[in-house]
Amino acid sequence: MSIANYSFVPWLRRGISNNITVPVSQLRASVDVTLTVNSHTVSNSVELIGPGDITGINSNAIVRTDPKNWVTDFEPNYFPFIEFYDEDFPWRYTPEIPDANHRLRPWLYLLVLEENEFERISSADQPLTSVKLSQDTVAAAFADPTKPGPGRMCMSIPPSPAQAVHPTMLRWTH
Amino acid sequence: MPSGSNLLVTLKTIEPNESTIIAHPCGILNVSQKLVPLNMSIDKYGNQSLSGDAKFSISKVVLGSEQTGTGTVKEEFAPGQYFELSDAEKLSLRDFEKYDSGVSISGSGSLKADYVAELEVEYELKYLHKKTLFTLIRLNLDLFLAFVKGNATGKSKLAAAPKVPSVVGTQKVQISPEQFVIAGTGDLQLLDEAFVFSSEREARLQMEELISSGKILSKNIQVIPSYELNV
Repeated sequence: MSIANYSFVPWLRRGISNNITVPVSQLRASVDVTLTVNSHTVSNSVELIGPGDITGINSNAIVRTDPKNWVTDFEPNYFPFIEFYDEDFPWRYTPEIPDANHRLRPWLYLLVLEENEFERISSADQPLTSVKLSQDTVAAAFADPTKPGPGRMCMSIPPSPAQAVHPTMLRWTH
Repeated sequence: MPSGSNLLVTLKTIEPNESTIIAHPCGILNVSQKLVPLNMSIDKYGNQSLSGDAKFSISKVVLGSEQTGTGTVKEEFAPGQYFELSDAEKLSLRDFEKYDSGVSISGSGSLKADYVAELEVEYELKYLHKKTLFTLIRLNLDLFLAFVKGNATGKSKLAAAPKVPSVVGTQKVQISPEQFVIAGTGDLQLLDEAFVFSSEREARLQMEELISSGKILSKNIQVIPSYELNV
C-alpha cells in the first residue's frame, strides 16, 4: 500500500503570468485581455512587470541560505542554494512561457564566484551593484552551450562576456 | 495585489504611459468605465433618448487564450442621467449611487505547473541482528511539533506575520456598504433572501418586475435600506 507520494515540479506560477501566450523573450511579457460587451469585442494588451523593473528583494522573502553569510569554510563540493518563502518566487517575474521540455527560466540566478573572478561595480546612477566577469572566468565557469552534457544544466551568456552581467542577460541551456 | 500575497520586491518608478497598461503578475486588473452603468436597463443617456442597446453587460472575459472568472467593480453614477424619474423620486433618491461599472480580472490564485514527477514514499527496512546500545524511540508528537517550529520556514517573519497581533492591538472593523432590500409594508420583513441589492435603483427595478408580473400587490411591498429591516 502506498504511504504517500513526493511530487517534483520544474517550476511554479500563479496569477496572470500563467496566461502569457507569446513565446518571445522580452523585458516584459504581455497578455491580451479581451472583453465581450453585448455583441462587441474590446481587446487590449497588458504588460506584466518583469525583471528589469525590480530594484531589490525583501530579505524576508529568503527563508534559508546555505552557506550562511560569512561562512568561509563551506565545502566546495556542496551545492549552495537560496530558499524562498513563496514557492513561485523564482519564476514570478519571468517574461516567458515554458518550453517544450517543460522548462521555464527563473528571473533571477545565483552566481557563485571566487574573489578574483569578478569585479564589483557600484555606481551612483545605478540602483544595484553589478559584477563584471573576466573572459577567462566566463570560459572556465560556463560550459560551451553548443556541447551540452546529458542531464546537465549550465549557463551561457551573450557574445561579449566582458561586460557587466545582469541576470536578464544570462541564458540557460541544457 | 490580492490579500494574502506578498510583493517581496522593490520596483523602480514606472512612468505612467497612456498607451501601455502595466500590471503585477499576481495582481488584479480592474477594467472600469463611468459612461454608463452595466447590467441594468437605462431609459436615457443624459438628456438624449436611446437608439441602440438599453442594457450593457460584459458577458465574457478572455485572458490570454482562456476564459476567466471576474469580480464586479462599482462606480458612482447619477441615476437622473440614466433613468426616467418622477419629481418625487428626484427629490427622495440619492444624487449618486454605486452601480456596476466594470470587472476585476485576476489569474488563478492557485499554483500551477505543466509537469509533475512523482516518487512513492517508502520506509527503509533494516534488520537488527543483535542488540545494540542504541534503542529505537518513538518521538512524542508534542516534541515533534516543537522541533517543527524551529525549522527555517517556521522562523520566517512572513510565516509568523498572520499570528502576530497588531501593534495597535485593536480588532479590525469591517464596514459593509449600504444595501437595499424589498420588504413587506406591514411587517418590514425581508420578502426573500434574493431581494438584497447594492443600490436602491436595482431594488426598485426588481420590485417593479414583481408588481408587473402580478405576483404581489404594490401596496404590500416597498424598498428600504437593509438597516430598517425588522429582524
